[in-house]
Amino acid sequence: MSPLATSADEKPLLRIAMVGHVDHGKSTLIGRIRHEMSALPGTAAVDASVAGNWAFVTDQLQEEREREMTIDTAQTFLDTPVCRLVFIDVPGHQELIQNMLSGATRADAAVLVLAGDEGVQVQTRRHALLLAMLGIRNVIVAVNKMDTLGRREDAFRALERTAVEELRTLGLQAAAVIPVAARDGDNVVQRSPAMPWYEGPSVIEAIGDLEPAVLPDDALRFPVQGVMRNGGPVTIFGRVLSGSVAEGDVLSAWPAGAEVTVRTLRRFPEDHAPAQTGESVGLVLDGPQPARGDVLAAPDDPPLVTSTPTGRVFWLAEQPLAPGEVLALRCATQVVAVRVTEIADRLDTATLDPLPGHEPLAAMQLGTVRLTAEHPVVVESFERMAGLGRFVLERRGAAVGFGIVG
Amino acid sequence: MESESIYVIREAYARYAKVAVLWSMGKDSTALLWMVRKAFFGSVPFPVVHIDTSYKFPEIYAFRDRLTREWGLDLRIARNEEALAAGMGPTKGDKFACCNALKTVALKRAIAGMGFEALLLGIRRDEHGVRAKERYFSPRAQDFSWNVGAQPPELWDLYATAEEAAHDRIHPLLHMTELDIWRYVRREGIPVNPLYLARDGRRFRSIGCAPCCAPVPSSAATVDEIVAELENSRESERAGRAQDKESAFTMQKLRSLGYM
Repeated sequence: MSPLATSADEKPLLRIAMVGHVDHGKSTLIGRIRHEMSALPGTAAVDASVAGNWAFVTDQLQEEREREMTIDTAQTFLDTPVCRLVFIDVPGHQELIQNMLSGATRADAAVLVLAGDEGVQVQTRRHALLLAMLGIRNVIVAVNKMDTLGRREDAFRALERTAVEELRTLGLQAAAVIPVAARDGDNVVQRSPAMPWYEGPSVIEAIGDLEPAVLPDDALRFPVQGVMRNGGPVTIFGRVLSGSVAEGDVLSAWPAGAEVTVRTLRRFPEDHAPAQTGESVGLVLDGPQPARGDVLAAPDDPPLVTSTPTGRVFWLAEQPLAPGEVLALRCATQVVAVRVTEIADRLDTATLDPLPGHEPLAAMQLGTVRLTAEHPVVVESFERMAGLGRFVLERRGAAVGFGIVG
Repeated sequence: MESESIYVIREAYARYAKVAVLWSMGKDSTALLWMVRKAFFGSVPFPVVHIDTSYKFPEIYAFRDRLTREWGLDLRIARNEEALAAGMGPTKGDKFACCNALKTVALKRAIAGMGFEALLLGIRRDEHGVRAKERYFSPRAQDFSWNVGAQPPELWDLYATAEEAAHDRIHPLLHMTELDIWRYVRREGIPVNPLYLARDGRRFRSIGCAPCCAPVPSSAATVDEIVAELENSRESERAGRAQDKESAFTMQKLRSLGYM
């Protein structure tokens, strides 16, 4: 859970993506949770059009209902006495991977849904790989459709072993593996009396037990978002990515490394208190004025500045990425032209089998990509500071791939 | 939550030469306008557009004129005068045609006429199942169409904006719920249209055109009472909206044609 995210009444926010293979029951599980939890005060009842088809809670498009398949990601909110849960539904179909990612990149945790009658499928594995890549470590496995397996323990244990092993190869550890029948509500909110051999938590209980992720670092990083020149002194605005900033602080602006001093912290209404992680503020600086894309940091703890960034890149576009191509790299508020110098290795994300390197990176392949940037870029390792450790690659403005620094 | 919204607002301002914010004088777009003021230290550094169907409640026009004065807004009013002259209205023909002509078409002309590249809108995911699928940065084609089934990926807060889009819709409040908005209104002391406050046992939960919005039974006469009411309510926000009742997928159809 990101400490950056709090709802308006400052209750912690936990965003949970439901991921997994097509038709394994992601939308049904969200709908069922939403239905059973709608007794909570302040929660609207599930609307009548759902009529027992729990997936319709998030599948609200005409095409989705006619084809009984999620096409686009959707979010639904649930306020519990202790926190706000945001459930992010994503499509399981591989053609819709970009919609899955639009949802999953916003998640703090995930429930990997696995249908008992089909077991681990291509998209189960690919989605799990993406969770690992996106740094989502809080993963719960829901073995769904236990009704098709007679709610038998031996069938569940076999699937549990497979799932745990698959996750282990990706460096993930399941916080819980739960036998579920989402349609009927078994182990969704209430423990199921029909599976007395299972003594673990329900899906909602397991979500409640997740440990919040801790920010690994509190070094100041302030990516400059823009400059306001009308109405008062020239003001740099942006959001504190990490650390805090106060009036009088001496900082360096990267990639150039120029020294600046914070003269005034600007807010509306006026308030001069130090700005903390996650806050959007304005800074009036003495010294050379930084521009959008620059990153402010404390002089004794500079970020990484490089003209040759390397990343693990997941490719999305139909037209592959080839060595020599020039595209735009977007990282925090920076946009820099980059040329692909090398695609060192590739991975088939359906089978997790390695593919030969030094060949174009096709859609849904993951590769190590070395880039040469037109100007130096400011980055960090993803583990140290996710906000400067991830990037999107763009062709004519459209996102065609994304990567993790390192 | 506010910080996330302000980040999106500033991202729009930093990236487009011609930005505008759409204001309906409802609670959401007024909260959005308030956040724009917070993002830019008290000023609204771009035009504020009101899509005026001419069927709004008189209280809405009074509220608009008051805040325009007090906040020093550069207000632009967009109306489909042709359709109005031809007698278009909610009682004539179907509501779908009326919403499309007086809102979507008026908006299209305003964007074309004023050359906006990006529009900030106060829509939220929890309002409607179709809006639950929106992106923060949502491109619109030349004919304004929104292809909900084939939206571009939106990864983290690294918003890509494809060059081929005719204009982009920016949705800074997407992650907020109705209750969040009211709590925010209370915390910040944002002015509220009196239609939202109960009179004679009824209040409006969602406001738009007078003929198509019905008040709901309520005794909440202050913002505090609205917050308390919503904390215990199970009724959906748009229950009083005629548009949603016409057919199951009206919102999807309207939005695919460029509706907000």
